[in-house]
Amino acid sequence: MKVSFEILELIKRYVKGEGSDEERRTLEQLLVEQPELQEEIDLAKMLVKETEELERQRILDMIESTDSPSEEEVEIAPPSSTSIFSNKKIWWILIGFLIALIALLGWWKMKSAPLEKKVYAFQQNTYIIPSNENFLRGSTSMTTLDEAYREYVLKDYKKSLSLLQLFSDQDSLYLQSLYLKGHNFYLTQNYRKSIEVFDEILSKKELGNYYAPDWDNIGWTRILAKLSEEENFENNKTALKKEVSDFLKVANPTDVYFQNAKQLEGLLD
Amino acid sequence: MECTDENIISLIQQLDRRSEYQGIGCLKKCEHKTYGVLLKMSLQDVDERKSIFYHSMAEFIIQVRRKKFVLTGEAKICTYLTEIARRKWLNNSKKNNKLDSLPENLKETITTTEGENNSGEQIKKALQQLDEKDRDILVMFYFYDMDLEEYSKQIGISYDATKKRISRARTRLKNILKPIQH
Repeated sequence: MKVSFEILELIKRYVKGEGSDEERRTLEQLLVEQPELQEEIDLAKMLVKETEELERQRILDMIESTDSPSEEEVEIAPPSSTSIFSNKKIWWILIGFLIALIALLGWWKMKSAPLEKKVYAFQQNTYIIPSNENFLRGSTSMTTLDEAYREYVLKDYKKSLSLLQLFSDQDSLYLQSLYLKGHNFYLTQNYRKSIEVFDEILSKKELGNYYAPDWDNIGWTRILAKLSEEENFENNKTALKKEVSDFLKVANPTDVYFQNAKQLEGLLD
Repeated sequence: MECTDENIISLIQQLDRRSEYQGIGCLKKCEHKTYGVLLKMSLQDVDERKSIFYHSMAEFIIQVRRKKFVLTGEAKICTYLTEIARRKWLNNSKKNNKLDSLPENLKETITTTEGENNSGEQIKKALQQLDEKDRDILVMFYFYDMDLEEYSKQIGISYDATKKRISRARTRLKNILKPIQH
């Protein structure tokens, strides 16, 4: 049976109880004339009910599809047998395995790297900035030294060096200023100057000085500067080994510089 | 897009699935507020809390589309959604209490006869067999009572074409129903 769209709307409003009295009367009259319209009314009733259920379910499905499991759900969920990758433990094992693999690769790379690279990596890890204990004493010249140290820590090596130029060899803190100067030169990759400065301090070691710098730090940083200066490790291995061996004779066996030198000695062997 | 109340309403009123998903994503931000209220009402069960919240979200979306919810300056969507959830939980509790007070044999009768409706099931199945476009247009017409001119504009077809689509969808549904009824 063909039903016009207007009648369809009339039926819909009627079954939803939204039609006016006039519309209801019109429809009742139509039903008398065409009793087969009853079938349409029944269908419309069902459609109103079922489309609602269908739509609610569709929206609920959509909401659930955007769901991420809460922690509680993860804990109580039984282990899935469909995929081993859905198991949390497997993921942790895989992550652990990957970390171990990366560490192993790093170790292997280090082991098989040429001496130059090994020493370079070693050098990067063993540079130690001088402690500020020696610099904070409180005199006017000390304040300048303190400022120079601050600039050095802030990585403004240029400014630090310009402050250190203010110290003359007559100054009681001259050795201290040289100590910091050597480090500034080292970090600005001016290794030759750094070695020169450290040599000058070390030559004055025997004279004794109240504001003594950290001799082992100087000796060790000088070795690092030597390592950085060398272009060909293989050819200068003997000379470098001698430098390290000389340092080991004078360094304090309990400090970290001594331990570093021992390791370097092993690398150079 | 920021999840402001105005944006949520605008996303829900659009008919494409992408906007619908975005709207749902925004509504999920009301989760904590609703769970907090339900917890205060002694709803300890996590799954039930979630189920009530999801049903409330669905109810809210429907109300917006049926223009039963109108955003005013004062109304806050999360507050409204939480209120729907609170009422749902109260109704559920009342229903459960009534059922609990019934004798076991009667309880069974009620739960098994509820929802059993052959012709309803047939229509449901037939609707599910329709393609998405036909199903959507019947939902728009019979359930949402959407203004057809507005609907036509939204999906970019003429008013007459929309009417034809509704008639065609009905014919296809009847064709699916025929062999089932015979």
